[in-house]
Amino acid sequence: MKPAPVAYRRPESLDEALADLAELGDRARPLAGGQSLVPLLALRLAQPEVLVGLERVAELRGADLDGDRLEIRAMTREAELERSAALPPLLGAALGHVGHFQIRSRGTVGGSLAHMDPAAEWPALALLLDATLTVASARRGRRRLPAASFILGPLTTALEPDELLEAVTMARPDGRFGFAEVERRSGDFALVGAGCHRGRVVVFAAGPRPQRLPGVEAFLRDGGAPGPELQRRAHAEIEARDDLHASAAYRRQVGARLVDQVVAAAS
Amino acid sequence: MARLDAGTAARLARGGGRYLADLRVPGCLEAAFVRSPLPHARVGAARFHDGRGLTAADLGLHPLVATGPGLAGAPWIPLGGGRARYVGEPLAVVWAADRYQAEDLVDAAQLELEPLPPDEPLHSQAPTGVLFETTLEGGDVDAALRAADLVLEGRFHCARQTPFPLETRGVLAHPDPGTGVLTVWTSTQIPDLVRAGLARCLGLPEARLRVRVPQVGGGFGVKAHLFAEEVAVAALALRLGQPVRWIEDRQEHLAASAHAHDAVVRLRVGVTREGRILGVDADLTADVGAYSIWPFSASLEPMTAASSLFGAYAVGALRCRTRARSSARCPVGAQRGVGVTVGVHATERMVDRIARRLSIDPLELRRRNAVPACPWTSPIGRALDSGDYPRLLATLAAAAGYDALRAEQHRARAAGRLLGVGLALFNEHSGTGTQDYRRRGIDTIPGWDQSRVRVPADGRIEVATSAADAGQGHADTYRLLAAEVLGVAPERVEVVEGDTDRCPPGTGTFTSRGAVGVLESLVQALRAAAATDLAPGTDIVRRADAEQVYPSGAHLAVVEVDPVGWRPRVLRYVAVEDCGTIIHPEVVAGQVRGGVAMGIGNVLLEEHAYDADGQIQTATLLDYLVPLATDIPEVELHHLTSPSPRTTLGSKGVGEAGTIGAFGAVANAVADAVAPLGAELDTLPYSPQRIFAAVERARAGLPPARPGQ
Ligand SMILES: Cc1cc2nc3c(=O)[nH]c(=O)nc-3n(C[C@H](O)[C@H](O)[C@H](O)COP(=O)(O)OP(=O)(O)OC[C@H]3O[C@@H](n4cnc5c(N)ncnc54)[C@H](O)[C@@H]3O)c2cc1C
Repeated sequence: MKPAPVAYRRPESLDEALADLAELGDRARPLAGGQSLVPLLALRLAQPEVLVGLERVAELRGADLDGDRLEIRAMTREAELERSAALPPLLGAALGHVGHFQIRSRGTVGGSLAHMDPAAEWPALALLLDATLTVASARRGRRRLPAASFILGPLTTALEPDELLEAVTMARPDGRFGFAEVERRSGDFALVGAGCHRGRVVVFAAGPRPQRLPGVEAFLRDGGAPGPELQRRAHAEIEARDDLHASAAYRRQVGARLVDQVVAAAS
Repeated sequence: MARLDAGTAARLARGGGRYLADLRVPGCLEAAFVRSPLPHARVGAARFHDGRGLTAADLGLHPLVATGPGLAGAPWIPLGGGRARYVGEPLAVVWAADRYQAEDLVDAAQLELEPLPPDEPLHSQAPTGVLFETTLEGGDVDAALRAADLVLEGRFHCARQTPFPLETRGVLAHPDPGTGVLTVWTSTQIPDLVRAGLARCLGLPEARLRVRVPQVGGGFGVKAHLFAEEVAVAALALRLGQPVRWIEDRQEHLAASAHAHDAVVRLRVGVTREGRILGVDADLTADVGAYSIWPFSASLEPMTAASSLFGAYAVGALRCRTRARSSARCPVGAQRGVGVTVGVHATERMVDRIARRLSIDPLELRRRNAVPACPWTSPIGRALDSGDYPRLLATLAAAAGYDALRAEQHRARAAGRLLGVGLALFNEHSGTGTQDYRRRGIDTIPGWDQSRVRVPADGRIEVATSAADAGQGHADTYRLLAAEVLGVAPERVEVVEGDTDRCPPGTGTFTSRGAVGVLESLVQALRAAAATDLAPGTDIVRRADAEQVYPSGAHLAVVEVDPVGWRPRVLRYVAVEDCGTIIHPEVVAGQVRGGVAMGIGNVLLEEHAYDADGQIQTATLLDYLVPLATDIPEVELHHLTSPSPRTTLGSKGVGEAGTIGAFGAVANAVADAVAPLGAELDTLPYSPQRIFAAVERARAGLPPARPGQ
């Protein structure tokens, strides 16, 4: 469990980082908190020739949490957000489920979104809160993508090899919300999870990517309330997969129950 | 008895331990292993970068065979000897200046592998795949079942698991060209057996080998085997004339150290309407993986599991047909509680099932069937030396507030909560001796132990035993004891273990031997020494061959299952232990607490899985889930003390009881929590998925799932 030989660059600015990626293409991988990438390197499942460390890129650090629109830049560590008094309660509730504090003190918001683990909280939050992701490259400049177009599938996003995720922005999530998940041990990736805010409903860790439930949302718009009918609709709508820890049937049943819970909490 | 301060524990907790990976030997090379990507294959030509790689044939390694009644005589073969028999099996060793470069060489190695069909036998000695088979029988089982009012059936499956010490395995071999002696430092529980096995694999006289054990960060059974990596690193160091080491990583540990369990127990139990258990007819199959592991052989898990069935109950007749089958998976070896955990899981789940069927409270049913008084001999010849089973139950009921708990459970259920209470009554055999091993047909393990008390010229008192501490705290226990028996200050006593040059040979540390056979030899040596004036030059060796003794216990767990996500949580744990005379209370408490934690993980979380292509699915900690601190409640610990008449001090060993009890109590508590939904649980671990599936089957009116589903 030792990485293959790999070179390391540490650019001091965003332009420099983007230039490195433009030069190296898919021979390079950006390194953020390393909490997902380093294990992949150690298992030799990822073998880039060069790691481009983003630690010194000042433009990628920090978050504006005070206004109506939040901007969280990619290299913001989860622990930094947790320490901020301005952090909206919904984000706080979800963050508490991201690994353990050791993981959150290294792991970054951008790293989590770029990694796109289907069970991760950040992609689900981005979808739930209709976030906009800003990505940049030396050649094509900036693109702004809604979460739904950024998130493609397990470990797959709209990012090109020469692109960096710069920041995620979203309207401040005020008001009532629901966020719940089931994990086997505290700190584990969820077996299945759900969130609800302002009539939007998202299930995650069930299928290949976080999923909005338009049928359930329509039911709620039409005055539907938590209960068996809502659970039935959620159950029919959830895209679920089998893995070692739970079956698709489990994920649909428990996911539907969590949807019921989070809708109740948000209304 | 004098108390030592908590010095050892505090030092270890602060990172002050010095383990195998902390040994510094100048010029030491680092080895890594080329491992099989296929479950079963013939190994052809091998090519290594720069020629830095050697196979079993290159190294001329010899296989070892454990023979005995019921065993097929299939060999254990270091580095596969031209065949790969499971994914992750080491097939060749490479070396470099550091581990990074060594892994680069592993990547560059080219091993021709010709896949073999899955039905091709792994060993020619066992064409049907049965590595071991026997039947234990006592009393007239058929008559007992005929006389019963009711015969209940059950089928219980324990998952494949790994003991998972915090410190993985590791070995450092250091040749001394001057003396011709190869010193092999290894993280093991059995230094003498490792030396014996190494000598045979390498074709060297034992005198050319010195096995030394540094501080060990946990063994739990997995370090009580000889491993291919130990043999290969020793052979490589001899070949290169240079020190070489290998430190196991976690992935190697999960995929290719030794697994445990993976056993299916089928029971037919005859009972009267009043709940008296008359007879048990059992059938047990253990999947022991690719090899008959050395030194314990393929008989280990099936024999211990079979002989522990209904061990705490006065059953008149018992039969168990048992066998070990091979499969292209990691070999199965010892894990804390060995097969007793398997036997107790099946027994205790069955006892609860009988209670439910007859509408008798589980505690009451246990009272009616518990061994009434000791000594007591079971139909299959287990001669319980001591213990008071009715009192264990009474003490547990009082300590836990059993009636109040049931009342609370009643209220919780009415409020829609899934709250369960689970009990376990059990015993285990510990300190297995020469006769026991021979009877079981294991000829590879001596069974006896030795201790030596020596007074060098400087006046220190050196106490050496044939055990090897794996983190249990032998040194503390033995130092206290020596100080007391000899009437000297503990500081004067130096405890030496794990060095084949300085310690008298013996068997090692497993089946809680440290408080039985090893201790027996130590007590005798100390008493003989106490009769002298302890003058410099004193040198006394005593050998003891333990008779099996039977620690016992009764445990209770309270578990709540989340009715939304089906996640079980242990809310409370009460343990009543009877390990005979307690020599060191803190060490005993630590053993029980740690044992319970391990048992909780085994019952709720831990499971190895292989896919249809024989690939292991659980080689990282993302998928093999061990318990975290948040999964373990405070263990409320109570003691009964029935000294064993078979040991001088009356101690019986306590290394495994915590784990064994949890296999009954936690499993029953989860099952009890979901019993109102009609769900039947019988396959460990009782994960959210299995609980969900059992509830769904009950809703659909289907019979319980077959193991594996
Ligand atoms: C034990 C453990 C438990 C965990 N549990 C959870 C959990 O419950 N929930 C959860 O959500 N996560 C969990 N994680 C994952 C953790 O949150 C990761 O840290 C996170 O997913 C990745 O963030 P990182 O900053 O560490 O990224 P890295 O590991 O450094 O990078 C991840 C990937 O993103 C790419 N990348 C990083 N930054 C950028 C960028 N700015 N632009 C483009 N690409 C980029 C990298 O090249 C790499 O491919 C767990 C991790 C561990 C080790």
